[in-house]
Amino acid sequence: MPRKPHKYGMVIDVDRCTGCGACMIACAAENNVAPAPARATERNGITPMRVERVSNRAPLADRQVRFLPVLCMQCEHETPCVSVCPQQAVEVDRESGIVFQMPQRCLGCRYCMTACPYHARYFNWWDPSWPAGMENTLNPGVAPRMRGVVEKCNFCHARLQSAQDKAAAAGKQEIDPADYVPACVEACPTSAITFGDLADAASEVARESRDPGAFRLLPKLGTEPKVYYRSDLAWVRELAERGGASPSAGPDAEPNERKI
Amino acid sequence: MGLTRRDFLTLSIGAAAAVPLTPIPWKLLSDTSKWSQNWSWILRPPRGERAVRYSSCTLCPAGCGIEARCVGRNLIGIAPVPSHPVSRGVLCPYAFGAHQLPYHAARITRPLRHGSPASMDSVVAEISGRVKAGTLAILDERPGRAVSAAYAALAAAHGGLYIVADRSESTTLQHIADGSGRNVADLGLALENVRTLVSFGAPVLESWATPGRVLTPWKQKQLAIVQVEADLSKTAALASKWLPVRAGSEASIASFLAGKIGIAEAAQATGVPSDKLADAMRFIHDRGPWLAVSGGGFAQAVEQSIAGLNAGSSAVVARAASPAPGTRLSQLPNGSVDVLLVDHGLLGGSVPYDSLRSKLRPDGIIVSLSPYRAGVAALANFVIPTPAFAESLDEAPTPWDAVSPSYALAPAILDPPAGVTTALEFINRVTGADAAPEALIRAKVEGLYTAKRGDVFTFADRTTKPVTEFKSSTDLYKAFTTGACWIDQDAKVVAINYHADHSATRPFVSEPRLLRSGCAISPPLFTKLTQESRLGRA
Repeated sequence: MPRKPHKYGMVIDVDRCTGCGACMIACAAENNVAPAPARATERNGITPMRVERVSNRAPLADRQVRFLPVLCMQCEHETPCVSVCPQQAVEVDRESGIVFQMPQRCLGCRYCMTACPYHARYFNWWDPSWPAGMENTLNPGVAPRMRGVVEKCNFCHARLQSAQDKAAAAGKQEIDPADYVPACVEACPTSAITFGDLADAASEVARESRDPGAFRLLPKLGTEPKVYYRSDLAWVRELAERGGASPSAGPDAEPNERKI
Repeated sequence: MGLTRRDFLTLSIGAAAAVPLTPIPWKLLSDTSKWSQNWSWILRPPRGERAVRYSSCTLCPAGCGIEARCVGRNLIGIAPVPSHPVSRGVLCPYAFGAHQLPYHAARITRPLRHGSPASMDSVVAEISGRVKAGTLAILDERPGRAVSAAYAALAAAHGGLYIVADRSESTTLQHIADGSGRNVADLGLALENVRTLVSFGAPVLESWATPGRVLTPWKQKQLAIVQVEADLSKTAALASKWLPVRAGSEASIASFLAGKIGIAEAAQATGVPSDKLADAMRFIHDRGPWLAVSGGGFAQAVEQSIAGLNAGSSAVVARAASPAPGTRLSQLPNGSVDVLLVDHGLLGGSVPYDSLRSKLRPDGIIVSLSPYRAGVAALANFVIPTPAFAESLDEAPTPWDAVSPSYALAPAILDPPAGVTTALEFINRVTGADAAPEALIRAKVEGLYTAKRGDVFTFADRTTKPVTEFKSSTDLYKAFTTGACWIDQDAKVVAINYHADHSATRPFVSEPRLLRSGCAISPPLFTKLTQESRLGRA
């Protein structure tokens, strides 16, 4: 009997994110992302999980700031990166709902990066390089990518495969949800990220995705992301919907803020 | 029919125009791109048997529980231990990159004499001679360990001093200790009794104290933060109330909260509108018990005012007395030491070089015991390479902020590179002593077993059982080395009857704010935060 299709997704509680960056470090360690080369910047670095600082841009005394972890949204509908890839290097796994990037097929044209409305794809401008000896810390479950290909978050797919192997070894069709937790979810010190199967209406992630405060980035594009956010703050939700425009544009710009 | 020049040109141009419509150029482009990425130089992760080892993070005093993921003899990842009684399943970003620290570019494996490599024997001989001829001081940046007690004994045996560093994180506790005649190592913060943390610039949501003790009640909305700070720091951004005071006017908020000045005066002094001050005051008092903490770096009178806000609070408690309290670095007279041995810990230390140099006599020397040539070690007269993260048996004693005494071990998971020596082994060599680190730790565990107090939480199965259920101290030691944490939650604590002593004039040296995380180096993957995103600049 085939496994029932899943729709893995996450809900990120923006009001709980402290912007500590533990998710970024854990993601890079799990997925063999190398430390930044000397020439790398925020524009050409590789951060499959990236925490952005956003604000309501009110005058300083009334300014509110939140941290918005941005990763591949695992778009459900008309996945932009899939439709533009000339190499079929991007594929949506119908069994898990995860959007895969296959570096072996990638031509490096970066069309997918242009198409992605969430800027969640990263190009390897350089071969990955680790200080001497640090190759001993690489995760053998994930192949390091090479110069000239695009990469992105795949919900720590190697962990899903391990969980599936474990279930198969135990003679089970379905994995134990506790066996499949992406690195960023595991690392979050405030449990701001809830991960699970959105197709299971009883799951915590599905329940939280239905929270009145839940929202998705750029919903008007109709890409149906499987990454949801949640906040009690109206300006955060409005910002997500408008995509970087400030709801109450004031004269003071947040110095480290970035458009989403 | 002959081929005319026109036919030839037509065919050639037509073929050239048609080629892009065939797969040929695209296939060539694709293959060329792949062939050019022949990848022979791309690192291949070492293979091996996968295993999980349980341990404790000893990068900072919090001593959080960790699950170390190994492949063969390599450490490939760190994860938190859920339900850990001290860390509560929380780790800071440093821990997630800790397994890469042994390969940090600043790592040293040979002794350095004035920045140049030297043989261990020559360095030992030179420093031994100086120890015999002059005044010795041992600075311990990670006090509270069994090894720390050995440092104290060794220093005393040579007529020297055992010194502990002043920590900006615990500035408020230090002032309360001064005012109540206690040692700061014996005080803790009962955060569980507090509904609001009034923070004067302390980064309480940024890996402050034991992060799990703050972040867990904060995320459950049981603990609110009121941040008094001129800048919109991460903590200020996430606080329930942020009072954006003028820099240097924090004392007025302390006076206002203490009822010493009125709201109008406070508003005028700080630049915060009266209604915002009133709102914050109402918020603090409506929520119930609160605790004021300082981030350090203020004038002594301001620090005392902040500490004074906790007079009569049940949130500051005294634990059992520390076995080796040590002399605070700021209390050590300037120009009084000939040889200063500094155990920096695993992140290269946080004490500013100038504050150490000032303690030396003109021809005095600093000997840095550190895995890295960074921070003080980059300027010290001698640097002795010590094991890095997970390379030697280590201890996680009671965190500075804890209420309940706790203890855990961090077993050696990796083989240390040739040439490194533990700080205690080196100090043994230069002082002629023979204190063995493992023997000291075994004696500490024996003491816990004999006292028959407290419980032991085992990381692998997440169960807790009393110490009395262990058959022997060997069993208890074995549990520690395979991942366990002892905690005595029934230990007697007493609330501190503290009154601010404004007559105290002892100078207080604070760390600069940049060093608040207590480290000279950070994991290489921190470039993700500092270079490849804007997060590290927030």
